[in-house]
Amino acid sequence: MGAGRSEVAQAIFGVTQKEKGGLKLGSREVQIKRATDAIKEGIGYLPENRKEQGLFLEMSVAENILSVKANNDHKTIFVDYRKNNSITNEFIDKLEIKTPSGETKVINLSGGNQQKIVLAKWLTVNPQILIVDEPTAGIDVGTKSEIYRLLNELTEAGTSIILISSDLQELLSICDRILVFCNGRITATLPREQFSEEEIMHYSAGIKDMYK
Amino acid sequence: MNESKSITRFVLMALLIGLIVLSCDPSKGAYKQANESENTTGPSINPNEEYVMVTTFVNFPMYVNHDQAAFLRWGKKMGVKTTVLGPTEWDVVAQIGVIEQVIPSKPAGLLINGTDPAIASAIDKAVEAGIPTVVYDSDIPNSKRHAFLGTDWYEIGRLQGEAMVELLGGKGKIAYLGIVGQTNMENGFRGLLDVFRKYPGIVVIGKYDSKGSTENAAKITADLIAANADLAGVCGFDATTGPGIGLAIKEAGKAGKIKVTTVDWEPEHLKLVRDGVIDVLIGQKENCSPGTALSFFMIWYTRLMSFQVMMRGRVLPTYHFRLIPVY
Amino acid sequence: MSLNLKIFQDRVITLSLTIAVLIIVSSLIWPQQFFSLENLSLVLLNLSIDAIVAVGMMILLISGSFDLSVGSVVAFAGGFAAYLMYYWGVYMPVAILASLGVCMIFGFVNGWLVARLGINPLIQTLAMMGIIRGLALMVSGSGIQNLPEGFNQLGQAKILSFQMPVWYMIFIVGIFSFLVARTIFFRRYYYIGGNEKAAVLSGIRVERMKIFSFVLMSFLAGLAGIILAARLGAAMSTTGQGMELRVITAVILGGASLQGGQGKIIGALLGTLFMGIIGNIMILARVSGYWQQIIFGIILIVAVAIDILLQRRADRDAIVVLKTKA
Repeated sequence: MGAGRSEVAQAIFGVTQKEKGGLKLGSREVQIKRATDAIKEGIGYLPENRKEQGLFLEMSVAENILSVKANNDHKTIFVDYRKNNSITNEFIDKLEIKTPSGETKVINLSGGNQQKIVLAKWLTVNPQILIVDEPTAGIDVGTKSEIYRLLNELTEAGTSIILISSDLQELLSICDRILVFCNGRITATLPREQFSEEEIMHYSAGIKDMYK
Repeated sequence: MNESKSITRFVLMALLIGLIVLSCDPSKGAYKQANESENTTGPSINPNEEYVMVTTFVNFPMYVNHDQAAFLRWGKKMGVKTTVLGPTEWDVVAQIGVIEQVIPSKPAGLLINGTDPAIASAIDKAVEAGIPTVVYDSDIPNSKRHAFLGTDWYEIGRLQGEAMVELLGGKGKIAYLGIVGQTNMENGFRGLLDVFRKYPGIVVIGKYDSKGSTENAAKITADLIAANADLAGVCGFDATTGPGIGLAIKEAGKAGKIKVTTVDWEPEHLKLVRDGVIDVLIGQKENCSPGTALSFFMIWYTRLMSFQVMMRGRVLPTYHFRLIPVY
Repeated sequence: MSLNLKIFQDRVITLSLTIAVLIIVSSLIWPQQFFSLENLSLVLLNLSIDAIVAVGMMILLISGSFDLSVGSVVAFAGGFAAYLMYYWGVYMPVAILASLGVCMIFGFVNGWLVARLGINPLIQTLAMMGIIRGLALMVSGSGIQNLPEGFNQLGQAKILSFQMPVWYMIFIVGIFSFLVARTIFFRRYYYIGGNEKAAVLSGIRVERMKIFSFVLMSFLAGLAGIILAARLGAAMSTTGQGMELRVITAVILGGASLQGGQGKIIGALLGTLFMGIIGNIMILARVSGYWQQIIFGIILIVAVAIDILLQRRADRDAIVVLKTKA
């Protein structure tokens, strides 16, 4: 919190303007000025505050799930309702979203199901890189493990996931590599074999040098 | 505290009573007179007939107190239904909408405030639907309206001039009276003089200020008669000049010899016309123009010209409103 | 029970039913006057201008915005086109296009300042309302008459006993109903109105879309103004005063919400139709103008109140369904 993690994520995604610096995808320099560009480059961003930034609460489950795919498909002009229906149902089944139908307003669903919908809307575009910002905040334990399972499935399918979290246990259990932020700077890059709570705490407090 | 309360209450009561007394219509007597003189002359009108006035800004005080009040009064007098319709704001487009939507209900007559030349096409629609349509206040000359009524003072002056020229056979000494300096009167004077300029036989003695009082008008006329033995005609421009000029001429025993043209349809004017003192009446006060003139229009429309027939003098039917006959 | 209510939750359906009831009752009361082709065509003619503006306003309200300058744009568009034709003798189609072009610039200014600079649309369009009204007064002053006959025919000709503005209205409502319901482009306004931040993060270019919606609004208002001038055969600088609130009322009656994200184009037509029929009934009933305003006010409150109550009920039902399922 306050370490600048979300800001960096949003800068990568193109919603916040970066003051300096570039972005390399693999070995390729990419220009991302706005979210559309990021999505075109295969980057997805699951924001921290799902109600304020992730969901269209008064709109239906289907409209939410399709909000990224439909709006970034610049080749199609007309809405294909039949295709949209099948996509919606596919993701409701795949993510086991508990909803009476695709027409239900998202505001009527539980927090866990809402989070699954935010995830689903990114899965519709198969991102290469998915930034997930605090995906398990305020979610019941059952749904939490479901979300971990989904993230694991994604990485197995080849998607790189950048998880932003302040839940240490979560980081230690599912990550391959941890970057520690302090005041907007990366203070450490730790591979899995170096994971330890203490280490991370120290780096995140920015007092590593003093400690050594 | 208690005392001041009771004082307030007393004042309020007094005000209330005062208001009630005041609202008891002190002018009722005058109305009755007017009613009698017109009812005897009016055509028979079906009480189920409905006349609709369409204006804009219906709650504009000047409209409510003058145009609309006169119209409603006229309806009561004639025993016909009257309705005032229109938007509450200055919204000419809405007024047009109301005119158009009144047409299918086929009222017996439409009275339309000529707010903007753009209402011409709506007026034409009403005319084409066979509804007698009168424009008041400002004319819409590009429309097919049957008649226009409104105070065109220059026109009043011009018509008085023409009437006077006709009465005098194109030559003689005349004087004219009115409230000097008032814009509408000055416009009237201009119209009058524009006519006289074309007739070299007409000699204008001068412009005299009635100051809006009957006594003054009578005094000026008496002086004029005394000073000019060959005075041939007097033109009066405000409502008080008629009785004033009439009084002086009657007293001098010159009724019928000195020609008189003046304005307004006041009962005493009509009496003077009957007595042969006033020869031609032109114009009227703004506050009864639409209603009264509509009745004239309807009279004309039903081809009952009884009003004029009854008069020994002549009433110019075209004075305030130009009639464009429809057949 | 919840199924029945769901139907009544759709404003398009409730409003259509209300209009149907109004038509039936009025036809019984005034069989010759109300239920005639003549009256119908006049009612439609008199709501056509508002309805065309309402289409643009509906799109703005869907996106969570609105425009108070539409009435001034209506006055300006007619005035400017008339000015070009009357004083400069500009060829009619050129004058119309030039006027529409200027209107779109007004829309762009509104949109740019609202979307880019973040000025509140209320303040921005209120200021623009005054500016454009002033310009309208400058170009048409006390009114311009005697416009070319060809221009007047655009608004006064009749096809199948309906005057041209009615056909323009049907055409515009038809096209935009289709576009807003069926194209991805216009569907984005629902997302923007639903949650602007989420829309940005979903890759919608919100600023650009907003600017476009204001340009479209001014274009439609300009078109309405030119049609009005053609219909009247004259340009008046006072036209469209009070139109903005009348149109917003109609659009909200038609199912839009000031919060955005809701509404259908057909609702804009139904809202203006409803107000037009009420207005017509008032004229037939010979009810004074003041009552009309009182009644519109009451209807608006009742409609929105019913909506909120039904919505609450529906939400409760949805949660119940969810719980029983889980």
